[in-house]
Amino acid sequence: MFAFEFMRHAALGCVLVSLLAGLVGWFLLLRGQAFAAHSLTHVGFSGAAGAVWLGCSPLMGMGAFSLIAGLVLGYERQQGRNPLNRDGVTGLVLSASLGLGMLFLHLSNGASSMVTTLLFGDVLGLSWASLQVLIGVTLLCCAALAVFGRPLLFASLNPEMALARGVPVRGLSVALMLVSALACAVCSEIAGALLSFSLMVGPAATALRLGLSPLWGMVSSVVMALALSLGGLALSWQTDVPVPFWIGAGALALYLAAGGVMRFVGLRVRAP
Amino acid sequence: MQPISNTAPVLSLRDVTLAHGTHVVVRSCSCDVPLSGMTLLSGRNGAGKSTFLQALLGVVRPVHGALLLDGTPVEQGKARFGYMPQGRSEMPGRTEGALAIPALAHIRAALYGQRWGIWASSRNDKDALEAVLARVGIPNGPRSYVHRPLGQLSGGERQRVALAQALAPLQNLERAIVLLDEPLAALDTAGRDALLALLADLTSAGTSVVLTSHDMAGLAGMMSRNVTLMEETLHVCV
Repeated sequence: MFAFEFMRHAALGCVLVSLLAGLVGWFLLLRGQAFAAHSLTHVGFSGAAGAVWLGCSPLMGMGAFSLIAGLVLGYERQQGRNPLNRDGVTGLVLSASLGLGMLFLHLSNGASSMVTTLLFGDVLGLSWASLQVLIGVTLLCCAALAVFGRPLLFASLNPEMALARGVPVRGLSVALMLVSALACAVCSEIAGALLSFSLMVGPAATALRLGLSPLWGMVSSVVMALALSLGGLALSWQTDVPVPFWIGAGALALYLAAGGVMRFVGLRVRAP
Repeated sequence: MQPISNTAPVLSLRDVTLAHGTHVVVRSCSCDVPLSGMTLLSGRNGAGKSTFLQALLGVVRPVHGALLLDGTPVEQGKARFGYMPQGRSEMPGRTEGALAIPALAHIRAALYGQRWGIWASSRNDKDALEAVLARVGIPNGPRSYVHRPLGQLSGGERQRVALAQALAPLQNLERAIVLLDEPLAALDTAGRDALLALLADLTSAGTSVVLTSHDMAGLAGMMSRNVTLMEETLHVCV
């Protein structure tokens, strides 16, 4: 299947996005921000719709809208102590941006094929120019996580203690949401706004369910994301079923399998 | 009661007014509190014990006045403080995900969490980790509970892990002041006795321990002093 250039582009895109989704998704799940990740991808859809209306690159619009939403969510997350407030703010940002997305689509006279592409992604249509953007964003996000990964882990595991030690907990929260916004924008290029969420959340949730250390959790999250995206691409080639379906179904299967493994391990530990 | 040595750390309040939202914790309070040995900070629920500890850490700033440690603002002595927050699950960031991570990773995060960038653990880092585990009596073998997810540990095991986190970043235990917010709240009698024995061991090594509790019964006799937050002032009883 790699005889075709579009398949080589698709495979490289899957590798880059898996690296990003596996790492960023692990931190988001650790911090209980799955809903924020879900919202960022949808906000990105609205930005892309706005870019289509303005005649710009959808990826640029997606990135810009996701970054603004990431900034708001990262800042608001540190306000108050009631977790319901955080979800409430996330929900408000999501609904407002989706409304804006609908307005942009209305103004750009529907553009239904573009809507389908934005919602469900078009991994097989990745151009070399899009791949270059993906490479740049992936390197930028990985470098950022390498710089602030340890303080972020401390702030995620025990924010009160981290704050007491002088770790900039709020700044790190905003920084993570900005990295997540960029990651969501590029993930949406591969799996679409509706299903890019599964690539970020599925592997990370499975890694956390396995009770792994942070290093092995992140490594396994990336490996599972790679297996899902490349496996989805191969299965899509064989079956002509869209890639996002295989990613979503595979993510659920991995999570359920991890539950089975943990139950088996638990039984073995309890056995005399 | 332990005698107060000349080198014992002293906390000074200079006309301090401290508030949590609209609730005033202390108003225009001035006093000196020696912190050697074990100090019990008591008060009814909602009196502001946690806010007071956070003020010592420089996280919450007084509305008015100054909090001094050995004559200098507490913010400058931040490195001397170890802190064990209350184990409330509703705090931001204290998520199900965090509970799924092995306890050892929580201690490592407290030990290395202030470092930025990529680096490999050195021999000194490993020695520091082993020393803190030994200090709080956590076994470090392959079958130790420290390798299990934090959410699967008992209340007593969790408190030991939390204490290890509080001690992990401290360079010099002799000059350190460890602040513990309601450390005995979720423990049974055996767990409570074990933790108090551990704290007594720490104080014999020169560490000052300040712990909050709304339940003074059974604790007062073990403490070097009792400091009570009541009616917007601090009552010190040595």
